[in-house]
Amino acid sequence: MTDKAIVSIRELSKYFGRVAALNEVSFDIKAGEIFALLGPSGCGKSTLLRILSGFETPSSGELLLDGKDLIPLKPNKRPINMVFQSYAVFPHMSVEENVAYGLKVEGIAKAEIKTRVAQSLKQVHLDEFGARKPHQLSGGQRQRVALARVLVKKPRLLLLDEPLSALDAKLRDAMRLELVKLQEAVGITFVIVTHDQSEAMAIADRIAVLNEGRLRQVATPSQLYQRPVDAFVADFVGTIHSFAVVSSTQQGKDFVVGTQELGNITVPAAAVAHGIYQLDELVGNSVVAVRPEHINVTATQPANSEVTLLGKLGDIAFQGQHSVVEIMLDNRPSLTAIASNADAQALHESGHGSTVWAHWDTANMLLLPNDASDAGAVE
Amino acid sequence: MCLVIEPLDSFRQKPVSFLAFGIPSIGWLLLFFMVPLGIIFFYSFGENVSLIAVKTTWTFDNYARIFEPEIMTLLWRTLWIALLATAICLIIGFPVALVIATASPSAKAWLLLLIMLPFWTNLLIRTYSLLNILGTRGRLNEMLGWIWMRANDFLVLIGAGDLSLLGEKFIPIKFLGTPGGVVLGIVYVSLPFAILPIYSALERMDTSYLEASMDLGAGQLQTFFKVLVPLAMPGVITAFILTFIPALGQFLTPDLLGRGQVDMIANVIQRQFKGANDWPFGSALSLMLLYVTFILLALRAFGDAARARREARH
Repeated sequence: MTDKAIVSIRELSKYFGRVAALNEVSFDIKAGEIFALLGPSGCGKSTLLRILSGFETPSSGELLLDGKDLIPLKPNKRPINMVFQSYAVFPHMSVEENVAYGLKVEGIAKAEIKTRVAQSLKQVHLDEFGARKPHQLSGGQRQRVALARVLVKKPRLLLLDEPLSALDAKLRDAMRLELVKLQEAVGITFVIVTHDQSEAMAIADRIAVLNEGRLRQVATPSQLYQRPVDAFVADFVGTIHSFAVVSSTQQGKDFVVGTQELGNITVPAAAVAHGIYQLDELVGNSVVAVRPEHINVTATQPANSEVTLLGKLGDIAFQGQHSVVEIMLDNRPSLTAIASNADAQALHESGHGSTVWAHWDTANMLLLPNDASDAGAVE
Repeated sequence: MCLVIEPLDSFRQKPVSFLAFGIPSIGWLLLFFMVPLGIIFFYSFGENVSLIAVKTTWTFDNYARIFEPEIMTLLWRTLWIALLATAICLIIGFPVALVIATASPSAKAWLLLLIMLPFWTNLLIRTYSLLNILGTRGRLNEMLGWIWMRANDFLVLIGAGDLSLLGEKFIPIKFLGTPGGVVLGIVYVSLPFAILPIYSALERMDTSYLEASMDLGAGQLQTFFKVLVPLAMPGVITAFILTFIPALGQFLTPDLLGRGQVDMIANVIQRQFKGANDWPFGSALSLMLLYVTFILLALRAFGDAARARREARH
């Protein structure tokens, strides 16, 4: 991967009637990376993908590929190919004919088509299946045909629309790894659209989080998880428990914020989201938040924890390597904490509904605006 | 006691309830379809023994007469008129179906209504109105004559000719009593049967196939011929069957528009049962189409079986 931008998106907007499917979105995709567009349904990620492939025209803004304007080019003239969510493998053609299709319409010589098709099928481990018809293949194999069909075109950019959503859990995990390996082997820039944060985190080098047509954050998976710009991103990329800020003061570099449930909390400067509001704007517009893996649960009162909450033991869910413990609180939604299986077992013995303490350190808390784009914090 | 609603496929366990539902329709088919067909079958091996009586003598004479040149000419004409009309229906029908399938939902409803509208008028009345349109002094020739006049006026105006380039006088085109007129009539009555199956195939088609084709570098025309048409093939085949088979048996259109000069097989069969009073030959002619269909179906079944064997070997 280099730092050179292959795709530049500048203030791109798309309106359907008066509804903005995309609202002034700007970011770069770097050459050779796996880039994920992540967001809930209706966030604009599919519209962006269709603009990249050429099936939608943006209402305003710039879209550059290798520095050249892409917008006037028709889909069939763009060096960009897409793996459709439904795969769209032509049912009336054999696997080989499907893969050869994109080369045939380009008018490439028969001999070259043959070698390139064979090479491409080998890449996706379908070399034995060339003569089969799509209806004789499994869903996973059809997806490989769709992949081979676009890889053979050697595009500058390869788009994948929800590539793993139609596969069963086991195949999905295998395909994640395989997609990453394949990308490393061919060196083509991949853009993946997904609504599944774990999928984006596992595959992508960088992720753009979109919501309601607006870009919320572009970052690496670990940055996104550890340093989200706002409460939406923090919540979308993983479970987080937030407490509304009701008062705020500053002590040196640290912020002291008051919450109803936890009282006053001193948040170290390092845990304050970049571009947070002015101190006097925090109340009503921000939260302090903690992730389940930082919460400890004990049946006895903790000796020295900075934040302590008294609650009742709820359900315990065994997850394999660890367990998720629910702590029911009086006047807010329950918390969840990650506990070792041994600790969870000990808690289980004290019984459902027994009194427990949830506690954690303030160093593990984040001070986040509700919506960073309101605070003008999107980089 | 509780009532258990059985799935439909449980007729093996409950043959009585299955038969209760099945007997009326099976009985209807037996009585009014299979029995008359059986009678026709026996007639086709029979001879006229008097003016009104036919005796089944298991003679093949009636079938042998099919191979007489006169009948072979008739069969050939029936076949090419039906094929030509079907081909025209498919060529016109495909773009129309495509337009309807891609129209907005409200426009779609109106367009489909327009396609169905002719069915609300009796076929006989529609055919008589075609007589009015296609006649030598009919509306179509009237319009062509008007265009001929205006074209001539225009040529005179630009000084390119004085009733010389286009001829002295407009000569009306003869549609009635010609194969062309009969083909036109069959196309007119069959067109909805060609449009609707193709429309339904296009309507159900996943547009991502077309987008994938464009995405892979194909132009509009390549996408049309290499993806859209092949994927619509099941609809086209249904349209072919729904148009071609009734076209083979057309009676009214060749009778009225053909003016007795463009007979198709149905007109000759009708004559055997009426004027010619030759029921055995009429029966043999009727059944011939059925035999041809059986042979075609058998060939297809063999073909399918052969293909299944080939694929099983892979």
